[in-house]
Amino acid sequence: MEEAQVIALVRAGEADAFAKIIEHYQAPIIRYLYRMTGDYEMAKDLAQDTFIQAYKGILKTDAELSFKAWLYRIATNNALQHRRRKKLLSFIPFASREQDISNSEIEANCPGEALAINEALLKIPEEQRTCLVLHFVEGFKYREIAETLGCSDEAVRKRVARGRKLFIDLYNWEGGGR
Amino acid sequence: MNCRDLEELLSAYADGELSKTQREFIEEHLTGCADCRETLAEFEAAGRQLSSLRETPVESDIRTATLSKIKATEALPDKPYRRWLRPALAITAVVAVIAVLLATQPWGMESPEAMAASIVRNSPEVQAALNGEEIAEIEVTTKIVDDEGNVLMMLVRTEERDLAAEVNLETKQVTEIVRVNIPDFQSGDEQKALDIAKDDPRVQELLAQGGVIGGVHLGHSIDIAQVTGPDGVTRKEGTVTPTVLLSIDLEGKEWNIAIDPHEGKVLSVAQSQPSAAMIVVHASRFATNIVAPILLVLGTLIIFGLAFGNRSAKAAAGISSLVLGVIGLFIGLYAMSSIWWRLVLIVGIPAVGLVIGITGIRQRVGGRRLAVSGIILCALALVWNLFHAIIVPDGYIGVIIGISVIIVGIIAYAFYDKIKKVSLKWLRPALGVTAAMIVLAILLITQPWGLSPQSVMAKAYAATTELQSYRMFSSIKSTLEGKTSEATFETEFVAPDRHRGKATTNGDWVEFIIIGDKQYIRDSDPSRTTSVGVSSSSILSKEDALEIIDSLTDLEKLPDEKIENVDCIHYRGTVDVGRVIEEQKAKLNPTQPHYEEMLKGLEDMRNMKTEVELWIGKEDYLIRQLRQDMEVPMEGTSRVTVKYYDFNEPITIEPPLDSDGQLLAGWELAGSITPDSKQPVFGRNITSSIGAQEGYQDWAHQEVKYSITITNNSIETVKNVRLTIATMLTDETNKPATMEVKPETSNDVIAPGESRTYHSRCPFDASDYTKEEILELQEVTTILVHFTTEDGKELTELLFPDAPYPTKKPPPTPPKRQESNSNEE
Repeated sequence: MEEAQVIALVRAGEADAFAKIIEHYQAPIIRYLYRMTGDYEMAKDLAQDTFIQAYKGILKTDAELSFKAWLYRIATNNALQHRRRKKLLSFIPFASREQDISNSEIEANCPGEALAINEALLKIPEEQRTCLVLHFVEGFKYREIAETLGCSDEAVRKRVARGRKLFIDLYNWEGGGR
Repeated sequence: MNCRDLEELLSAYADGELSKTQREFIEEHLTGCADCRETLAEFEAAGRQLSSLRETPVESDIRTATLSKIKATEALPDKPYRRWLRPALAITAVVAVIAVLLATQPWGMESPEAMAASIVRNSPEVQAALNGEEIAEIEVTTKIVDDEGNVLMMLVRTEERDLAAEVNLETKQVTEIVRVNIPDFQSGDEQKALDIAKDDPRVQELLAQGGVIGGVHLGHSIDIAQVTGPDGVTRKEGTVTPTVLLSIDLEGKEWNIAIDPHEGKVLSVAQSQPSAAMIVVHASRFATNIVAPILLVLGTLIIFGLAFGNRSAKAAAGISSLVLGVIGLFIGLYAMSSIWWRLVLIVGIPAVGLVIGITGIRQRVGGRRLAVSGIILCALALVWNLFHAIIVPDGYIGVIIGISVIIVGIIAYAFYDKIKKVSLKWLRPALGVTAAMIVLAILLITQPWGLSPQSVMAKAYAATTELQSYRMFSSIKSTLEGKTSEATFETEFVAPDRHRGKATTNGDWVEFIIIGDKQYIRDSDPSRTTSVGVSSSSILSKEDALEIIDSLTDLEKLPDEKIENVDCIHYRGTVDVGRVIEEQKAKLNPTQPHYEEMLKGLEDMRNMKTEVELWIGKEDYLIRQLRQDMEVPMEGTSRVTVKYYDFNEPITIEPPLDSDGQLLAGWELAGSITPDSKQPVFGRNITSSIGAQEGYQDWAHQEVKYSITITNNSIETVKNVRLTIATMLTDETNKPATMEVKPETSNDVIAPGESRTYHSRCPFDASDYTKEEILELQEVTTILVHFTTEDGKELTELLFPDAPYPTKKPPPTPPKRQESNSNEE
């Protein structure tokens, strides 16, 4: 079924049709959110929220954006919000950063290099990281990123370049490729 | 061109994101620049590395969970009530929080003295020692047992016995109970103590440094010592010393001087320090003052957060759970009291914290650790507070059970998802109904909407009637026919029947002391023949205030006000003049003198307007202040302001007697018989009639018949009472005759309040007189009463003439049996 058809069904009140969309996007969205937050459980929660918001959004508005860009925009916003909240909570003694057991489990199955790449990535400022993840991990073209983030193509190009340079520095500094 | 400037383009080139022109330009540059070739390689490698993250295995399937959540939220629009349910709940909850805070006023904490008194009152040990007798008075003594002031010595008095009780404010226990005898103060002790103090070098020094004597009050000092009796048994014995406490203010510091007036020595001179208990109370009062608004803000935030489901609001809920737990513990530690609403508060706060913590977990907000910490803390506070609630002797089991039910309900609701799987459809409605009923019950018990004026008045009535002592000060300003006058009136009252007062008008004053049926009076003008009675002088005493309360209509509640730092409910009302007049009329006795006049006076009051303002203490419902504004059209206005204070303070009222039992200078005992007393000993009722002697019808055989009733108005029994009549109307012309009057009984002793009637006939020869002459002669008749007082003084009082004589005309034509009556009192 075409995405547009599914969306039309959802708009017509077929909530179950939305399952198709979730099925199609859940893996990339969770992955994206995981790369953005570094917390797999949180990524799953945020992904749920993202889909719920998307569902409500479909009903409410005729999005001008492509569905994919729009979905990623919601996910990005959720990731940024989570980040902000986490910053807030880090001021409170009890809210120790959730050192996620689940993450280490995932990474345990990964080669050591992936771990180093991930660590370096998480240290890159959000704006640039978003662009890097969208381009390299999610395979977005610069123009698609610009659409998702609501900025110009040039801004994306700049962010990717800077982020990439920073990544190289961080990766090497971390002693990457051990 | 610097190669660094090309980095951005190189990056885009690596990603295949350049336009054709740009690509060609870069490719051309790359052929000639090794550095850039290296950079490009790096860039491409980084891209590859990052792209490797694509391979992250994602196995989770969130379809079902997400769809069920979507359906749950989607269900909402179908049921429109749900849309306003949450905001409505939120608003209700906020209103409830405000109402409960307003009704309970947790910031109103007790003083250590009040705390100690309540501990004593509720102590089972004290109850046992009293054998079920009712406590009449609890007094804080001047004896402070420990350095911190956490242990107070209290005197507990009942009708039968007196106890000394040592109270530890920290443990809230009565640590010692000893039976004591409390010696009485003697009149003049205060003055004596002042003199003693002024002779003391330490006090002299304080005064020399500019200290000012701030106040003198009476108290008791207690010493407890181990005493071994003749039977060899050691027991504790308490000695109570009447102590006069003098406070001296010196440079903002207060010094307390305790004086034993009987031993004539200064017991102690010490700078008064706030006791540790006092500090705790102040601290907790301060804390609750701050905490209450914080609670309100937190509660509002949380509730709106829950209501509108914002993520950060929910996170705030998790944090608040923690804060509430801390506050709950704090209040539990410091504000424990027997008053049950405080209990609700100290249980309520951690309970709210629990809910928030659990909700936090359910909503996966703010981290589990935060919420779990909150729950643990709140549970701890709850258990701690409940523990203290249970050891409160008055027993608030009902409240505790109610709260427990609420908590169980809340937890059940929190884990509703889990329960739902095994439970039935009716669970939620049942929980809802239960919760609603509990809320309703709590509302009914606490009545946070406040009391009706009538019930406040009823409480004020009850509280005021139970007062053991108080002082009042009233000022009266009145304008009558353009003339303004001011008067003040101060009185003290000690239950059951002791009053002391002083009324001052334009520099003149009258002082009185009333003890039982004895009234002592002192007047600034000794020659004045005033008579001060309780009813006439105690302007707006407690009883009058109650009467006023009773007669008020159109009660209107005004904003609360503070009177002498006490929060007071403020009312305004008007006196139902019509009703008061009818009541007063019913009280009038038609046989009493000036009856008609008084009746008319009452009727004249009808167009009077009386507005009354009342300030009633919020906590104790005692009347603190009363203001009466009266306006009589065309005549004038008056404003009476009365302040009531020193409720149940130790006030001593003693008769104005010296150590020999003699009246002090200037004082007079109303009703006592003294030779120069201004007050008549006897009340009298004299009737006389003139007519012919029995068996005769001529002018020569006329007689005056007297019927004389006298009443002993004094407070002494009089003996040897004889009445004599000296009259010019005799058988022999111009020869005065004195005759003794015979009583109805031979008893010549009249006790206070008793009456006796005497009859007499005075025969005379009227042949030579005209009727005018007869009347003139009768007017010079003198009736005397002779009697002996209790202490053996022989006295005489003039019974007649002392008032206008016959109002009726004498017989127009003698010697017929025509009578002339006179009736005098």
